[in-house]
This record gives sequence, C-alpha cells and structure tokens, in this order.
Amino acid sequence: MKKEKYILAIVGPKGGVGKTTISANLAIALARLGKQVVVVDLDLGAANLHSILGLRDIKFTLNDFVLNRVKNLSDIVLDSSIANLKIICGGDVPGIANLHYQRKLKLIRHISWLESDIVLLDLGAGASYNVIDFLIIAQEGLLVTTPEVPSLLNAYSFIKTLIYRQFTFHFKRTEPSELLELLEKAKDFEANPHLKTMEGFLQEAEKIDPEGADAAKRILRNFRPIVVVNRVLTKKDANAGNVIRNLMSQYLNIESSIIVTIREDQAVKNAIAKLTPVMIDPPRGSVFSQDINHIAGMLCELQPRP
Amino acid sequence: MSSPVIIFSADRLRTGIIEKLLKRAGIESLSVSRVWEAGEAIVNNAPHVVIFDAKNNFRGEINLLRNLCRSLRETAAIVLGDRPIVDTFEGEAVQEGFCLADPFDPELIISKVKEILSSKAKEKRLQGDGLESDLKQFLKLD
Repeated sequence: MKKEKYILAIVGPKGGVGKTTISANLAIALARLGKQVVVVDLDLGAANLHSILGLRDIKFTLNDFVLNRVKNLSDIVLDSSIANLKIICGGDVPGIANLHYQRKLKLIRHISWLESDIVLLDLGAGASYNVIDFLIIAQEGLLVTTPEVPSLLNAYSFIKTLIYRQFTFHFKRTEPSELLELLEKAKDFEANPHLKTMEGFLQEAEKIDPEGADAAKRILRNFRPIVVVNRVLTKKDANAGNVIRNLMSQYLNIESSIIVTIREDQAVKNAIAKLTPVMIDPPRGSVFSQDINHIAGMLCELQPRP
Repeated sequence: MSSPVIIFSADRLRTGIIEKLLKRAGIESLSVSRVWEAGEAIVNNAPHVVIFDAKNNFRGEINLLRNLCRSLRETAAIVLGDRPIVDTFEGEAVQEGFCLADPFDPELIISKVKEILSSKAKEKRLQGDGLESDLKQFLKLD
C-alpha cells in the first residue's frame, strides 16, 4: 500500500533570498525528526541543491528523466549521507527551464508516485507557470522572502499570480467565460479600480455567477501560504511578515497565512563556503538551526494525519 | 475595517453619487445623515477625510459642523454647499481649496479626496514607519 505523502514546496519569488539553503537544511531537520524525506531540485535550469548538500559524484539527475533515459522518477532518487534523506538532483539540459506542458504533467504525476513521508520540492525563482504549477500540487507552499521591499513586492505579486492561476483553472473547467473575462479585467485594476481588491472582484463575480463566486471564495479559504521571512536582523525586519499578511488580508482576502522568520546567522555563510549544510553540525547557539528546527516541527504538526 | 472617508449629507442623492464614485476608485466610505452621527463616526473610524455637505441643513446644524471641522486634528475636511455658506468655512475651519461651492461636481470631490489620501500616505512614509505604504505604492494599491 502506498504511504500518505506530504508534499511541501519551497519557492523564492525573488532570486537570492536563501530558498535552496532553507530547502536543504529543512530537509535535514525533517529527516532528523524521523520522517522519510525526498528532496527534489526543481529549480529547472539553475539547479544547485546538490552542491549545498555537498554531493559531488552524482549518478543521475533530472536530465535522465526528462531525456527518457530512465522510465520512472523513482529510478533517479539518490541516497544522501544523512539518514532518512534522499535527493533527486536537478537537471541542466538545454530547454529544461521551459518544460513542455505534457512533460511537466508527467513529472508532476511521477512526483505524486514517489514513496516517502515527505516530498520537498525546491522550486526556481520567479512566478513562471512552471513554478506556480509545481506549487499547486503541494499541500503546503513555503514562500521565502527577505525583509527588503523588492523581495516583499515579488512575494505579494507571486501570491496574487498563484491565486489567479487557481481561479483560471477552476473557471476554465466549470464556469462560463464571463468570469474569465472578469479575471482578465481584474489583472488591469488601474483601468478597473473597482476590481482592485479581491472583495471587489468577488462582488462582481457574484453578479455574474454566484456559484463561481462561491468556488473562488472556497479557493481563498483553503489557501494557506506559509511566508518565511529570511535573514531577519531587527524587530522591524521581523515585522515584514505581518505587513505582507495585512496586504494579503486587505487586498486578496487571504486570512489563514502563516508567518515564520529565520534570523540572520553567520553560520549559514560559513556552511556554504564549506559545502556542508548548517544542520549537519550546527554551531552552538546557531539561531538559523533553531529557526529551521522550529519550522520543521510546525510542518510536522500541520501534516494531515492518515 | 474602519473607513478612510466619511460622508455627511442630508441629501441622499448626492451621498449616493459620491459613494458610488469613491467605490469605483477603490476607496471605502461610510455615510451618515445627521450631525451627531457625523461626530460619532469620526471618533469611531478616525477617517483620513470627512466630506461635509452643508446643503439642506439649518443654521444651528451648520454651526455645529463648523465647530466639528475646527476640532479635527488628523482628519481633513471637504465642505460642499451653496457659495455663501461654504465661504464661511474656508480658511478658518477648512484648508483653502477644499470648500467646493455648488454646482455639485462629483469628479472634483473625488479628485480632492484622492489628493488628501495620497498626501497622507506620503506623510506616513516620511514618518519612517512606511514599509506597508511603500509596498502599497509600488503595488499601486494606494
């Protein structure tokens, strides 16, 4: 019988926010909590999770799956030196960053077949549909940002794109095209200021199709983004998560977001230089490892019971 | 959520037009039709802007409105009504340029509201606690 699986996706809408470092260390923390973990490098075209984990001799990568050298994704799962932790290394074959839709669906299908307690997807930067679609299959999406304005802007825009993508999928499947047209109008809210807020959109949707509007509200109710504010140095930095939460609530009607912070820690830089994740041997008092352990514990709590 | 704009008017038609245009501009508002309700709404909502329509009010009510305008600290006022009445507000109780005598011009009223809200946002940013307003400005959510 197949195990109940918990798929987590880690995404950093802006590059360089520490997403892969968090993926690698969180995977180790979860494995140490006794979970069977497979971490998958889906930063298509810019994969480097293996280097953060210090893996040098790699037998298989995602290239082998994409180029049909192997039949199943499970054929390229590699052992790591850490108990309970396995890895699928990313690929760099030309064109992999723009994966064809059918290939993407195949990859998604195979990810869902992986045998593990937790599958942790390390996604690429940006808000391309490749990233968004892998995030949609996950039960939890962890959005990594730093407290600076450019990163927060990208995080907010990413969440909005994700919601719109989910609405589009739903409306295409079930609803009349008027709702899709309304969604298109809402994207240009400067021309349609009454659609600037999600509340405005829902009110208009209600007039067109009450059932469609209800479905949109359900999608919003079930959407629980986990915003990870990384490299927090000051109290003001720590407040950045609350600011994003307020914006999500005020303009996107997202009420159940979770905000966590990871404090700035020199140990991370030292670890990257040594190509050994902090969590392998965290220095005494490492705030980064404390925060990662906290997030790992929280995720285990959130994991639905079989 | 508290409303950034409060409309006081005894004229339902004028209130309705302003409300509709504000909503179209993505600005929340709350309307009241009695002077005592206006005072209460200002205390409860701490709005950025209050629109006082002096039309169809008695002299006593207009005096109360004038006193209310003078007492506002964080809230900017826009006064509407007949020329002789609104002139008594200008400069003394209301900032110059925000007393708009009839004929009723809804577009002008909305542009004045936007002007005030945008200057309030700038003020907040200058005060240093402006991460949220910075984000709103970049995301064009202001």
